[in-house]
Order: sequence, then structure tokens, then C-alpha cells
Amino acid sequence: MNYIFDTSALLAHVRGEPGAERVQQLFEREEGALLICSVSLAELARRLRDLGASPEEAWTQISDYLQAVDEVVPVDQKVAHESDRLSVSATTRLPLVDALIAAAACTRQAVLVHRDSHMRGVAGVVQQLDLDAG
Amino acid sequence: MADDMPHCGAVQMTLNLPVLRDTLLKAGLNQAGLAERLKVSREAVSKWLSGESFPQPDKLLRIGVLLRLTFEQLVVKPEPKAIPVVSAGRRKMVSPEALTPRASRTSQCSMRTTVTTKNMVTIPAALSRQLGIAPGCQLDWESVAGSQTEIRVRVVPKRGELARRLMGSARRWSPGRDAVRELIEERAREDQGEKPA
Repeated sequence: MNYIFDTSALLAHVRGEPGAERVQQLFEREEGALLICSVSLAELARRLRDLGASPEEAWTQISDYLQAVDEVVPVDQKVAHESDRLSVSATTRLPLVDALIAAAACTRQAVLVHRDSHMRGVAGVVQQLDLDAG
Repeated sequence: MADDMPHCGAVQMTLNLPVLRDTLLKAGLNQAGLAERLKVSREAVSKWLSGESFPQPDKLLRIGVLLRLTFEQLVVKPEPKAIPVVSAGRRKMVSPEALTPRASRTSQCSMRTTVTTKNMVTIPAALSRQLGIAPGCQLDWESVAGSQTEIRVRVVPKRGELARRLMGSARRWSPGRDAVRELIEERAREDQGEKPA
């Protein structure tokens, strides 16, 4: 089983917020690939800077995480197309960033790990692990 | 007095030829140039650089001074015990910050190894102990930019260990804030509006 971390899951882990231990358990699995969507890198950097990290500190953190994952999924034409399909099928409004990350999960057939309630709008079409669901 | 001496003795020291050749290249010196600067014959230098002989201590000292190399950088003392590398798989991303600094690479644990026909090499046993390298351990290999002779090898920590070190590491910035909630709110703000009917 492959997993893709939404920015909310990475942020929970790096901040030690609720859900961090569950994310840690996934990092400790030997089998399966761990993925991050490229959009999450920019989003995580922005969040860390907003909390007070310098750009260098933020990207050092991200660089460290990149050593622990197997692939960064780029937002290409396939992901863009899939994100639009998800936006149409979502039962609630799905922000664009959420749609792109969820689409990256779909294209890689990975379980989306998140703490973002917006993602519940595509729970029927995207396999997901909601860290807030317990 | 001879400029060199044959290899002998229980502890056989040899010049660290890759480092020496690379340093000569960077210094713009060829064998003739080195011979001239050290006031020795070109034949002697040729033998040193081919591993046929080892310089006398005074010549070794002068090489070190000329090329600004320490004894540890210039000389290789083979260790009797070594363990085989059983895996040399690589991760896709390498943090530049995580790479071993150049200064610390000229360690006490240097030795010369021979690449086998299966492209295998050995790791000095002392280095393995020092760095906790065990069968199954992953190593990152990369060539050093601008060098024809240097390879940088880094022990890749296990994914879980690395993540454990990262967990909570960003708590030092604004510890009281709920970063995940702020992220979700920001996403919603940037995507204002309702889903069309």
C-alpha cells in the first residue's frame, strides 16, 4: 500500500500536533512507498515561514523530509485533469490545492493521509486516511 | 640520499594516490613540476605516483607542505579487517546539508580497497563500527563535482529514524499556534465561493 501525505499531515508531524504519531507509524513501515505532491512542498514552506521560520530553515526542514519519502509527485497534465474531475464529483467545495493533492493520490493509487475536512468531500472517490477520524 | 624507499614492514603505508593526483591537478602541477619543486628526479615522482615506492619522510613532509595536505590525507594505512558492502541502494533525494563535510572525510579510518569484478568494495571495519553500518544499511554514493577521483558516500538513516528526529521539530516556531487549522483556513480563504449548483 502506498501513501501520500497531504500538507496537513506533514504539518501535524513536524509540529507534533494531533495525528503526528499516526504519520510516524507510516514512516516506520518497511513496505510501500511514501509520496508527497509537489504542491505540498510550497505550501509547507509557506506555513513554516508564517510560523516564524526563515526561508532557509523552512527548506532545510523540507529537504530533510524528502530524504524520508520515496517520490515527489509533480502536478502534470494527468494530475491537473484528475483534479478537475474530483472537483466536479466532490460533495462539498474542494479548494484547488486539496484537489491537486487528492488527484496526485488518485494517479498514484495511493491512500491520501490528511487532517483537512475538505477532503471528506471526495471520500467516495479517493481512498483516504483521515487523521482526525481517530 | 635516496628519494624513496621500498614498501616494507608489518604496517605497509602507501600514498593516498587519488587524493595526491587530484590535489596535483588542482594545483596545476604535473610529475615534472612536482619533481622540480621537491628537487628530486622525475623517476622518483613517477614511482611514488604509480605506487612502486614510498617517499622518504623528509620528501613526504615537503609534499605535504607544498600541497597543503596533512599526513592523514597523504598516507593510507590499510586496516586488516573489512566487511563487504552488501547493499548500495540509493534514495532519490539527498539533502546537501546532510552530506559529510569535506574536513571530516579525511578521518583516521582511511584505507585502500579494491573494486571486485562484481563492482563490490569493502568498508573499513573501524568505520563500520563508528558509523553503525550493518548489512542491509543503505549508502548514498555520489561523485564530487569537479573531481575525477573522489566519491562521497553517506550512510542513509532508516526512514523511521529520520522521521522520528523530524517529528515536532518545527514546534520551536510559534509553539502555541494550531498550524494545521491555520492551513485549512488559508486553503478555504484562497478558494472563496460556493460550489456551483
